[in-house]
Order: sequence, then structure tokens, then C-alpha cells
Amino acid sequence: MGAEVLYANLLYIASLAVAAAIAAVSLYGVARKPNMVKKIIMLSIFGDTANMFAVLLGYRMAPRNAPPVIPVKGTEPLVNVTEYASIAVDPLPQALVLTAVVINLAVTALMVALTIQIYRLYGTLESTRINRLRG
Amino acid sequence: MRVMVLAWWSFLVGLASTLPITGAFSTPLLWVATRSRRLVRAWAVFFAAATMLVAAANLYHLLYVEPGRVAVYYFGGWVLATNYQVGIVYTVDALSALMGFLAAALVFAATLYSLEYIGEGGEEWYYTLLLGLLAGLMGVFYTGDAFNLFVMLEVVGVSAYSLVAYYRGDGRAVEAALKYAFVGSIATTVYFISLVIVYYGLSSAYIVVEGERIPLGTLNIAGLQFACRVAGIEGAVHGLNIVAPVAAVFISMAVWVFMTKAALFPNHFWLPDAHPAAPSPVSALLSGVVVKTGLYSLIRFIYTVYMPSRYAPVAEVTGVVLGVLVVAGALSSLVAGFMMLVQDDVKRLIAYSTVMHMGYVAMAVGLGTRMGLEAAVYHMVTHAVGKALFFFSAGMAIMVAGSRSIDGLSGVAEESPVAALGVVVAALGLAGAFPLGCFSSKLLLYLAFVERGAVLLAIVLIASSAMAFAAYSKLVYALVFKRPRGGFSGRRPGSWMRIVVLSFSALFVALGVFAPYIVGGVVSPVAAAVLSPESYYRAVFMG
Amino acid sequence: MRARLLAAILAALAVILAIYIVAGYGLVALSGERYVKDWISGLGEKYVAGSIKDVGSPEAVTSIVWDYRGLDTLFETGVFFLAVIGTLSLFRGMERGGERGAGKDAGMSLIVKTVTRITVFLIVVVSASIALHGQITPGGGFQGGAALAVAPLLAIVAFGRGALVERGVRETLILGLRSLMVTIIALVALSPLLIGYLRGAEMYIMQNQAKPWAPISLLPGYAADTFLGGTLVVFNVAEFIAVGAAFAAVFLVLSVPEERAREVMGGGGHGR
Repeated sequence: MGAEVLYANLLYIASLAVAAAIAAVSLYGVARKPNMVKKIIMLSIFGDTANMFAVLLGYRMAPRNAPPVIPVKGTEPLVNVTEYASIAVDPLPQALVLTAVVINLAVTALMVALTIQIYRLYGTLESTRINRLRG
Repeated sequence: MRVMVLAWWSFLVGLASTLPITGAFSTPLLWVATRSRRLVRAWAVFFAAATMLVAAANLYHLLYVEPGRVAVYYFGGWVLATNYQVGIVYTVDALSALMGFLAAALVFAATLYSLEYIGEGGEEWYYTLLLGLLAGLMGVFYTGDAFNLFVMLEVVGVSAYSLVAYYRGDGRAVEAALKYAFVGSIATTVYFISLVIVYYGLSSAYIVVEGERIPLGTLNIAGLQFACRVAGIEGAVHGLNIVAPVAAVFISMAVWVFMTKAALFPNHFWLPDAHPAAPSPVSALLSGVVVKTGLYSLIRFIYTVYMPSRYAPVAEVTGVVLGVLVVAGALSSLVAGFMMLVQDDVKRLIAYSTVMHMGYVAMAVGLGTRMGLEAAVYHMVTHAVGKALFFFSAGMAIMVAGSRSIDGLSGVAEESPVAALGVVVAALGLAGAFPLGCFSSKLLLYLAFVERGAVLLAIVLIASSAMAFAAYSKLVYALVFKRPRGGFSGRRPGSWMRIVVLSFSALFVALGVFAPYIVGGVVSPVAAAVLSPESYYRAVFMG
Repeated sequence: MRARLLAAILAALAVILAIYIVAGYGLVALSGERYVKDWISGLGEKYVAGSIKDVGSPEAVTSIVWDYRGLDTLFETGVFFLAVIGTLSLFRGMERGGERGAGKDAGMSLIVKTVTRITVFLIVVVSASIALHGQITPGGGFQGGAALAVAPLLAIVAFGRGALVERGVRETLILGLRSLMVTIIALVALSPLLIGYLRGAEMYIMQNQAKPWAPISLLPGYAADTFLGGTLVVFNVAEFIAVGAAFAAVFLVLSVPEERAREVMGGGGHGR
């Protein structure tokens, strides 16, 4: 133990901190970038960061980090299921993230369509110029 | 495990959101197969009516057949297994049932209204989105699961963004939809993060029952209430030190999200763009019920999850949240009042009035008293009906006049008396004229403020109502007394539209005239249900 | 001003988040004696432990997605469905454009077309296997459908939109397929009510396997030597086709020539 545990812990915390930093930067981008497409990219980065955060929190660090898929042969589990559950990572955040990913995708698709439409109507994607054109 | 049989009518609770989503899923199939717009319309009306009947049955049951009961439905049959709720539960108390019925009734009315309002071209998409919106609304109000609430908010959101952009040739509409989508999806993503934090924060704390460790981590609203409650019992929870920061972060993030959804100052800026840009029946739904998803969730979390807790950090943060709600509500109504005075676009005027009324409800919720809650619930009902009526009748007037500016609506009363009647009733009623709808709910609000000694709030209420009155009088004057400025559009409102406007006018008057009966028969039981959070918990975890 | 205000609020939220992380985990980490995160929630362990017994699938994530928390996924499908409908509603009336350029010479060169044919076939096979094995290995309907979505995109680029439309690959047809598949998902989710009523047993919406209090399984959890996961297979296949079709419809409508789009748009605005 000792050094390697410390290293693993710092790595884990660093990933959480990176997630927080990316979230902050992406939100800044959504608020401040005038270009609609850049805003959408920033928003999807924000959504993905939230998902990364969820998966990280559901993770379990070595030595107990088996995937949440029980090894089977045919229909017989190869391991004691209850014991396996105590070493597997959490499947719930993964399922929640799957839902959130699809939702983000859906919203992004709709936003891209809206942006194309805005470009057709105004001929620009800069929100400042759109405001001026709109009067 | 015990064998458990739900009451036979419980399936109606589960059907409330799954029925309309089935309708939404099958509408394009019907369209592609038959190419009949008439069939699509009939399909939408059928599903909206069926959902309204289901919601009405649930409301009737919870108010009169078994008053005080909280109905539950375990999706997938995942009844509680040894203290872990693995599945999704719909938990419907009287407030959920009331809001659900309100949503279903308004969507039904909007569907009827749309039959003649939404012209040829794209109707099949329109009605699919309308049914999707209905499904999402029913889900938001009925769900007992915090993550399912996130999904349902997105269902409401996506259909609302698409409906706002329905007039795709209007640049303002498309732009407003995009703005709305940005704000909405940032808010729901923040909510997602807050849920993950609370789930994992609570997972590291546990209680011990008969030698077994039971972690508190859950996504169930009743389970969150349980966690907040046991945290207040001395020595019951191990690993309590993590609960305080988690609770603080979760409460502040979730409250920010719902305040954004409810368009409270300073996060109200998306509403005055998005609501007017939509087709009028959709505006009626957005202002009538969709913004109330935020307020409903606030009430649900504050009264069902946080308030029962005796745990000091949760109680402190809840106190701060209530204060924030009062301040944000007061500022919302004042800011909206000033903005209403300078509006020229009639739909924008009505949209700012929504911000004002959401402010009133937030102030009442922030009081934290029984009377405040009653006033909030009653005001949500009267405002939903009044605002829907306002948008329905304004849509009719706009259709006749072919203009959205107040001057452009001059003399519509001659051309379409029904539209003018609707606008006048809605405007006077929302401003608080006796004996129309919002008069009685504003009176209740006033009494609730005074009871708590918050005279300043009562002054805010009266001052902003006066500003609204001034803003509306310009509209009413133009509509009724001014001469028409030029030719009208030549489009005539259909009979369904007239029926909807007249029946909503009658309903709005009735809400004011029969206020004592409605408060006694509906609002008080609803407030009582919200103020007994134990029964909410018991219904889920003890059958 | 508004943007700045929003940015300030959001930055404050991010700071709260960062403080939480440092306070919650940082101090433990520096002790260096144990792993900060060597536990998961009790609920998560229940899912892994119960997946085979309760659902008939060793893949706990798919079990959660389509059974334990199936309602979330039903409405997540709804969100995606509504977003695609919203997109099509925005681009309505444009689907009849783009037939120009159809025929043998349209699209890219013969080499590209041949390679695309092979690739599209491979993509369909691989994505179908991702979807069909969803109850046994990581994967499932949505993942398979997202992989499948590349096929129509490649086909549109290589053959040209016109060639596809000429062969009958139209938005309406694809949309009908998608709508059919999601309707099947909704009806399978609702069918326990009818079955329970007819057989006089208690059954729940979205129910899959039998429970002590709801004694009828909708579909078997095992067949011969394989996990089927009951309704998981049906949901995965329907979702696979639905998601693939949704992407195909969106790509087709996005590939409408710009002139045609503007032509339709000219009369598009109703004013209010």
C-alpha cells in the first residue's frame, strides 16, 4: 500500500477536478461565445462532462473493479453472483448516463436543426449580428 | 417478500403518461399509412381526451373516494425489495393529481382549439409533439423518482422547443426556440449532476437495521425524504459528515434548476421570447402548465423532502432557500410589472404577466406556511386557467386582426365579440378584478402574507397588480373602444375556438365566484396532502 | 449583461462543485492509506446481484435500462423520437426535393460506390450483432442503432440523395418504420395490463419476468442455452431499428439541397 494507493487516489481526484474545470470552461463558452455552432459544441462538452462525472463516481478503484457483466457460460454464472456484486463497479450510473447521452444527443440534433434554420433566415450564426438584424 | 396487490384502479396512475406517449409514437405511423390529416386530428383528440379522463379519475379518487391517500404505481412490478427501491415508482398525492388534471385538461382544450387554428401543412408533426408534451407533463407531475423527473423534464422540454419553432419561417420563433433549448438543457444537465452527487454522497452514509448496513443512496423522492429525516435523528446515521455538504450542494443546485424552469428572476429572460413566439394554443400551454413544472418540483422537493428533516444543515439550507424564493418572487413580479408597461406586442405582454404570477406563487411557497401553500396552489390553478384563456382569446384576436401589436388589435370587438370577451375577462381577472378568478387567489395570497407579517410582500402584490392593470387597460381600451385602423385579415375563428374561449371564460369566472367551495373542497385537501410528507413516504415503502 | 449574469451564476455553481469535491474526497486522499473510492452504492450491488435471477440477463446495465428502470428508457426513446419529429417539423415540405442528380452518374466514383456497398453491409452486420447481444454483452438497442446510423450517412454521401430517393428510401417510409418500432415498444410495455386482465392476474406496465406478486412472465428469460432476458430482446431489436431509422431520416432531411429548402421556406412563415 502507501505510494501506489496515494497515486491512485490523486489520479481519481485529478479526474474529478478536471471534470469540474471542463464544466466551468464549457459553461463559460456557452454564455460568452457569440457563434451558435460553438455554443452547441460547448453545450455538448458540458453534457459529456456531466456524464463523465457520473461514471467516475460510479467507479470503484483497484483491486475491486470488475465490469458489471457477470461472467457466464451458457446460462450458468461462472462466479458467485453475490460475491461478484461486491467487486463490480456500479451499473446504475452507467445506465443513467446511457439515458442522459441519448437525451443530450436528441437535444443537440434539434439544436443543430434550429441553427441551420437560423442561418437560412438570417444568413449568419453570430448571435450579436442576429440581434442587430432583428432590430 | 410479501405478496402485494395494488388497488384495481392503480393502473390508471401508470397509464397517465404511457397512454399519451403511445399516442405520440403512433401518430406518424397513422399519418404515413393513411395520409389523412383528419384521422391524425381525431387520433390526437382521442388520446388527449382519454388522458384527461384518466387524470380526472385519479383526482376524483384521491380527493373524494379515499381522501388523504397517496396512490403509487410500481413500474415493471418492482415493488420494494428489502429497503431498496430498484424500480421507478409513480407517487401521486392530491397535488400531483390536481396538477396532472390541470395539464391534461389544458392540453385537451388546446388540441380542440388547434383543430381550427393550426393550418394545413405540418399538422401531423404538431399533434405528435402536443401528445409528447402531454406525456411529459403527466410524467413530471406523477413521478416519484428524482431521475425520472429529469427524463420527464426533457420530454416536456424537447416537445416545447420544437413547438416554439413551429412557425419556422419566423426568425424570432426559431431563435427563441434555440435560446429556450440552451437554457433548458443547461438547467436539466445541472440537475443531472446534482442527482449524481446526492446519490453518491448519500451512498457513503448508512444506517444499521438488525445488523444489516443500509446505505441511504437512492434516487427515489420518498427515499430522499427518508435520508433527510433519519439524518436528524441523533446517532442513527453513520458517515453523517458527508451528508451536510451533499445536501447543501444538492438543494442549492436543484433549486436553481427549478427556479430557471419556473422563470423566476434573474433566470426569467428566456420566457418572454419563447412563449410569445409559439402558436397561440402552445403559448397557452407553456404559460399555463409548462412553467409550473418548475414550481411543482420546488414544492415537491421543499415540502416533501427537505421540510420534514430535523437535521440542522438541511433545515438551515431550506430556510435560506425559502428566503431566496421570497426575494426572487418579489423581484420577478416587480420587474415583470415594469416590463409589462412598455410592451407593444400583446403576446409578449401576456408572457411578462406569466413571470409576474410565477413570482407571486414563489413568494407564497417561500412563506413556508399552510396558508401560503394553499394560496400558492390556488393561484397556480386560477393562473393556469386565466392565462390559457388569455392566450386562447388573444390568439383569436390576432387571427382576426392579422397583427400582434396592441394598436393593430384596435376594434377587434366589432369583428369578433367572443375574442374580445375572452381578452377582457382574462385581463381583468388576472389583474385581480372582483369577482373573477385571480381576485380570490390574490386575496388568499394577501391574507397569507399578512398572516406571516410580511406587509412588504403584500405591498409588492398590490403594486405589481396595479401595474398589470395599467398595462391591460391599454389593451382592453384598444380592443373594445378604438375604431379599427384598417382592414382585418379576413380569417374567421372557428366554432371550436369559440367554444374553448367561452368555456374557459365561464370557468375563470366560476373559479372566482365559487372560490370558498373550491378552496374548501379542493385546495385545502391538496395543501393538507402536501403537508403530510409521512404519508408520501409510507405509500411507497410500506404499501 | 444577461450573458454575463448567467456566466457568473454558472461559474459560482462550478466553484461549489469544486469545493464539494475537495472537501469530500481530497482530505481522505492525502492520507494515502486506503482507496478513496473503493465502494459503490448498496443499490448498485443489488442490481448486479439480482440481474440474472430477476431479469434473465447477466448484463446489469441492460437490465437496468430496459427492466428495472425501463420507464426512463421508454421516455428517453420518447425524447429522441420527439426531437426527430421536431427536426422534421422544422424541415417540413422539403422532402420532395433533391431528385435531381439521380441516375447512374450521380454520386461518387464507381470505386467509392463499391467500397461503400461492402462497408454498409458490414456496418449493418456489426451493429445488428451489438443490438442482438445486448442482454449478454455490453451493447444494446441504442448502441447498435447509433452504429447503424453511419450506414445511411455513407450511402447518402456515396450515392447521392437522389439515387436513394429514387430507390424508394424516403423520409416518410423511414419515419413510418421508426414510428412502428417505437409503437411496438410502447405496446409491449403496456401489454401486461391486457394479459393480466385476461388471465386474472396482477401485472404491471413494463413488467418482464414473473414476480411473487405478479406471477406471469411476459416472455421467457432463457431459451435453450442462452439468456434472452424476456422482453429485453424485443426492446433491443425495436430500439435498434428505430434509432437507425431516426438517424437515417435526419440525415436525409439534412441532405436536402439548400436551393430547394429556401424555395419551400419562402412560403413557410405563417406570421404568428
